[in-house]
Amino acid sequence: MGHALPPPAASLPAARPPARPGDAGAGLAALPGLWRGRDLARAPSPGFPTGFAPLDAELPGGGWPAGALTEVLCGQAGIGEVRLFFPALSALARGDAPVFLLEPPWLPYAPAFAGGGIPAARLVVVRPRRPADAMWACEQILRGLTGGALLAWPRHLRAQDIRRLQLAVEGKPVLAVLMRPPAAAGEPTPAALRIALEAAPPAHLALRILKRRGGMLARTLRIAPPSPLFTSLPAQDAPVCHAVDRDSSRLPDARLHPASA
Amino acid sequence: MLWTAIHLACLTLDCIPQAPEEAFAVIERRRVVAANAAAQAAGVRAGQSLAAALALAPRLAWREREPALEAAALAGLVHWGLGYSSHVVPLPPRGLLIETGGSLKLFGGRGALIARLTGELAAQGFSASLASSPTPTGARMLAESGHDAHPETLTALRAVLPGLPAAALTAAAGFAATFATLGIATVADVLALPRDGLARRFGRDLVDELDRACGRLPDPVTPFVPPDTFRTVIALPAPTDSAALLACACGRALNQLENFLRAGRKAADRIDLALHHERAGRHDAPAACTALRLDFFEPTASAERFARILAERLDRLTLERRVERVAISVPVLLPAAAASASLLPAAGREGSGLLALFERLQARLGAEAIQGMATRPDHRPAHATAMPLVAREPATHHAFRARRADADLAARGPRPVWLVEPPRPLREIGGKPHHDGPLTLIAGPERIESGWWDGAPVARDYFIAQTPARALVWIFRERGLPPGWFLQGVFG
Repeated sequence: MGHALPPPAASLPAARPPARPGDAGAGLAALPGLWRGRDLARAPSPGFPTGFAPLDAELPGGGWPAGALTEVLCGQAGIGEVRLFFPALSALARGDAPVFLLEPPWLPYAPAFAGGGIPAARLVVVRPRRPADAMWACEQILRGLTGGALLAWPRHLRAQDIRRLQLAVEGKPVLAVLMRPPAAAGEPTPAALRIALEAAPPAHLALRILKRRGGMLARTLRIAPPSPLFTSLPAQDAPVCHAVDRDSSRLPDARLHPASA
Repeated sequence: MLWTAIHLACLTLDCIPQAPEEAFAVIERRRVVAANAAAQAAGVRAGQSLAAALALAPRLAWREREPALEAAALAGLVHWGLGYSSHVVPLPPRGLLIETGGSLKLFGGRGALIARLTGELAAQGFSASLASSPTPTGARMLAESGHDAHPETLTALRAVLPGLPAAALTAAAGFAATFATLGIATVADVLALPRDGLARRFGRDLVDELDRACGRLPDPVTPFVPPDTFRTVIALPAPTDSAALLACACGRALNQLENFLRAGRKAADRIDLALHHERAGRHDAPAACTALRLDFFEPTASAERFARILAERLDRLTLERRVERVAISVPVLLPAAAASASLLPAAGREGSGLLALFERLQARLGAEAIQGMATRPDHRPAHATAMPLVAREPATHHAFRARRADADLAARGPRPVWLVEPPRPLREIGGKPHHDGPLTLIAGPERIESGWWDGAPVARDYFIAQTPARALVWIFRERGLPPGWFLQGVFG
């Protein structure tokens, strides 16, 4: 007399098949705070559209970070470092928000901003006499703004100053840009985005993203900032110039990304 | 109606801000009039001569009594009281009445309101006794006698009144000796006497006052009407030249100003301060005075905003002599814009926040450090831009004017982001202008000839050029005198 063993596994609930790596993503992606190694960070708030589609695709939030600092390392003035921000600033200024320029290197020229879509009435230029007041003014502006933009050219910046500025602008829909010399690339920064600008012929910008929320970007983007010329720059044999011959520019080193619009 | 009376027994002392642990006394004609707790612990009493007081407490700080300061402190309390009710009656020299019957529901009942009044008086540094009753005179008598009673009905009031001392009746002020002879010590004794006899012996006023206190006769009082300007004086406990202490002492006056403005629904956009320095000798020429003027971008009534701007200005001010008192006056009062709360969570009232930011920046950096920008319809590049100081213009008005001008100018030629003014002459080597190397002309020329009518004529051919470092610059060749190439701008 022996009782039969319990029926075999047929009546047990069917075992689940082992999960494949790809399947786990579907459930995990629904978790809001989870970041997977190869994703760009989902920025908590959408950024300000830069106006350049390839750049928007590479930035978390789809544009310049809102509520966080952007550092621009640019050694040469005049290659388009301010014009790069014109599309974003003009969108901001249309919404009645002010644009602050703190300690600009030269006098800003109102008709240029007007031509770029930023009404002169929205611009405020702050030039403190004492250098000690410059950092105070920067922090006050970031604390006091609830919308709009600040472009600053700080002279002496320490790491703890940048952290205070980052805290001051946290969580607000404000575009905060610090223009710094390329030598600052070696210092760590709490800013959310750090880009380096160099000139690329004929009048484009070679933009390298040194730091962003998400992985590093290995390639260099080629951006054409809003050009001061009515037409695009002429090719080698354009009949525009007078009296002086132009040197024919060599093609630069191999770029991994084709020229953008 | 429920009237609350506040009696400030130590107003002489409290009107001067002081540290409680230091012995302090108020002197009049070399005699002590009032002494604080620390001085009394050392043995100083009212009526002693100054020399005796200094002998008892060598570290005694003292100050002459100034009725103006007491009046200013009382006025400040009246303004504070206006925050609780629209009927406030000052009872000089050291009391006030507030009609609280209408405010009971707002402040959560009689007990809560009395507690709140007591707490705020203590926070402002005044020691006071409060009492409330249905009639003003009854409340005043209760408060002046120091009874912390709050009868709510006339019957309860008529039950409490007889216990008060007879000196509480103001009409009995001149009859203290007679009362003592007749054995009248309390109001009960007065009430026990026949009315006609009282009226004949001590005057009709005494009987009328008793009737008013008990509620048998109407007791009208004239409410305080805020004047059109605000003026107050603050005394500092000791002459000082520290900006932090000055700002702290003015804080109380700025709170008074806020109460005053809110009570009358007004706002101020300009505050005048006069810092009175201490006199060099005792009876010298009148004391020197530093005037300080605070301007605000919009009419405001917030004490915090006043205090912040004042602190910034005091930081930048250097005082040669120490300040012993501060006079604050607001010459012009403007109607305040009522702030209405909105149902939806607002994105932030941009206007007021931005103007407050400009005020702070201007207070610390100076008015000339903050400039707006405007375009002007002029062909000459240097004249086409203007940098007006950020003034108190309504934002919409300025924006409208600028927008019209911009619409004209956007159609002109390319313009650089940065302007180099005056134009920098460029070296010309081999027919090419040089700026950090030989420049390559890319576009141009744009001929600008203008300005012959106002003495700054311009006749130039403008070009866009590229430096060897690939920066774009705006240069021109001067067609007049002096000839040559100049740098006018950088296309940032």
